[in-house]
Amino acid sequence: MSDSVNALLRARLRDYQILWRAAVSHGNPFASPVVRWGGAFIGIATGAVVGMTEGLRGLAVMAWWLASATPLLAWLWRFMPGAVKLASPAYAQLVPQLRQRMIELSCLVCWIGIAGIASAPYTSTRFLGPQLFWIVAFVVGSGLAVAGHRAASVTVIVGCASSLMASYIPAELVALLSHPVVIVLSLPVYAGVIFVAVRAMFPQAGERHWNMLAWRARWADAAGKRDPLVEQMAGKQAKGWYAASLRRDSARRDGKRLMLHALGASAHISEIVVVLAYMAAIVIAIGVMVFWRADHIVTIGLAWVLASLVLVVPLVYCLRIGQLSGGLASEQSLVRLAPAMPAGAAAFNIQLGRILLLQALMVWGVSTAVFLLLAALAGAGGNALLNAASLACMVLPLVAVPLRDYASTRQSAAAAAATLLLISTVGSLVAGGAVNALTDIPVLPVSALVSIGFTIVVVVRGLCTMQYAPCAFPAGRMD
Amino acid sequence: MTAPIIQLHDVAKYFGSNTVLNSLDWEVGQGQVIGLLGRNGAGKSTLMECLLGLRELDGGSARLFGEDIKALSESARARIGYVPQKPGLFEWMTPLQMLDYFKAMYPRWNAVKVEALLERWGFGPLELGKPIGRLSGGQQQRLSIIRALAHDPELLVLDEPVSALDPAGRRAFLAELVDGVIERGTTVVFSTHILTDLERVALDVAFLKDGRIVLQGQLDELLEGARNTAEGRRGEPVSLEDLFIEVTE
Repeated sequence: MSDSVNALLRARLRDYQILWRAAVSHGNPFASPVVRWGGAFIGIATGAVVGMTEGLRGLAVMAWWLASATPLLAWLWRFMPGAVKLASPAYAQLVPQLRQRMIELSCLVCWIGIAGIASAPYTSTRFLGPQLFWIVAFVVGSGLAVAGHRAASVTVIVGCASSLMASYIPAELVALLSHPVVIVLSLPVYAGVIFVAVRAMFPQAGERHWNMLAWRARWADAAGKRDPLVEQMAGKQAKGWYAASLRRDSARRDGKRLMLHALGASAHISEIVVVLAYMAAIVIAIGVMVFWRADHIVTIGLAWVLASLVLVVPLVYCLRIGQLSGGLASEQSLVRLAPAMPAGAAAFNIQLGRILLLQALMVWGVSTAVFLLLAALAGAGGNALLNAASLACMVLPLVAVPLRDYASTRQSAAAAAATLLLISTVGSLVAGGAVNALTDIPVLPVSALVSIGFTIVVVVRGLCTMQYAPCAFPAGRMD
Repeated sequence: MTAPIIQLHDVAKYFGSNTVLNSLDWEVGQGQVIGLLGRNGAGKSTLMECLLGLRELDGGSARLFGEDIKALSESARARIGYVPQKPGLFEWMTPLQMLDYFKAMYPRWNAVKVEALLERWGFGPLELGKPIGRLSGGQQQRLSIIRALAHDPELLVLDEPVSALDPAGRRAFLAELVDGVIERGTTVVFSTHILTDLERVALDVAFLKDGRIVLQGQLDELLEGARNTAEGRRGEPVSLEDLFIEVTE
């Protein structure tokens, strides 16, 4: 009897192993040295800070938390993108009852991860209940988004909105949710939610399955196309500006500028400036609504934080020009064959890389200027403006997002942007915190300097990647 | 005898485990007008992209005008005209902007020919001022052809150039191809599924199957050869369609 159970378990584990390997073979966002070394650096730096401030117990909690969260992130970033591709009739023979096995494997990973996070030996569990809810919402929402399920955006929005409103949650409710008994009781509820969500991520053929496939395809396709919202917002003014710029570049036979036009009109600075103006107007409107009854000191102290919303513009722009190339492969073929373009792949890529970097820096510069202007208009003093400038510097590494191997389909601009932003903010804040603990120098200016240094490193690395990569045009041609 | 314009030797191309081109050898001489035929998915577009250097080869070598395609010189690229399969190109520009854009990138540009073609192919002030994305599929394809012909290329690579054109548009394009391109001695590589069009313009045909050129020769000779039966007698006349099915089956 026990032999047959053992054999069954072994067979099941073998199936899980095959599925995991097949799914992760579709791509590995952790393959980048920036992620590996950046992750190691952040881990060591965070560990050092935690060790100094919290002692050995703090280090143990951090190690426990990381050991629990890593499988969840690996499932989300490595397994899911490949697994949703495997959930199709073409792969049905990979293991018996493929869909069922994928649901089991996903549930196991998520349950173990969530249970691990819930059971870490925290020094204080005051906010554990809400935090657990947000983690489950993030994991489930992101998994549904990767699978192309419509419920994804609702789940993520609920998770994000509730985390932003955390200060409005009554303290009694937070205390109740974080009570050990309630935490233990909530785990089966979360397990049920995860099971239902994972079943929805891997639908059994039928119309819904094909709808999700179509949604994913549209999503991927839309990444390189014009954005109707941006286009509508940009209007005739930006189009006229773009047309004048195209006419000028064509008349001057400026090869570098002509290369940029192969990426589409939305890469042009005119649309970005118009979008930035709209964004600034929205930020001012929100600021007036939020602070109109608030104390003047509160307004001066916090308005610059609200103004930092305009930094979304360089983030989106860097993401867009990093993704844009894949959507216009035929146009790029024609540009590559044009005699005005450099002949060798290295020269071509370096020229493209420099243009993209310049554009990204320009958009970052304009956005930062608008950010500082808004902060100054809100009455921010010298310190607040210094903090605002430091915050802008912390998103500076995003200018390296467009510097990548465009011939390959494996690299994702979104993953690169998320990684750079995470490493830059966490790494620089940790470094700033460490310097502050030793010398009393404020955290944010040190973080800004660290981010600038990090930017130089990632830009040089990005340009090297482009130099040794196959010709960038036409993009996304290599599997 | 002049050197071939296109020289492919032992070319291989794979997409994952799928072999698209396999030990392919192919030469196209100067002034040849060659129709490339093959079933859907046979690899015609991939072959054209490989011979232009737009896709990396997994094996073998390719040369255009005697130069390695990995680093074609400026002068070699100025001699190439290419019409990709996708008609809607540079959708955010107007036709005039797009033509000006390419004019800026080529050392030689036949503005008279461009104006004549635009007029003959029905591009009035209204169409010339509209974004390309709002033109019909046929108009977009005509524009793509005008752009490819504008710098008087010596090698014209056409990947299903007439798929979106109506019969009148196809006739106008073929007339332009015969009168304005082929008679100037331009080398043309032309893939299409409309065999009647191919019979009008191509003197030679090449059949792509299993990743190789399995049959190539003058169209008349191939059709004549197909009439001869195994016993050496002459059979019924064979159409290009019959020959296509027989060769690619």
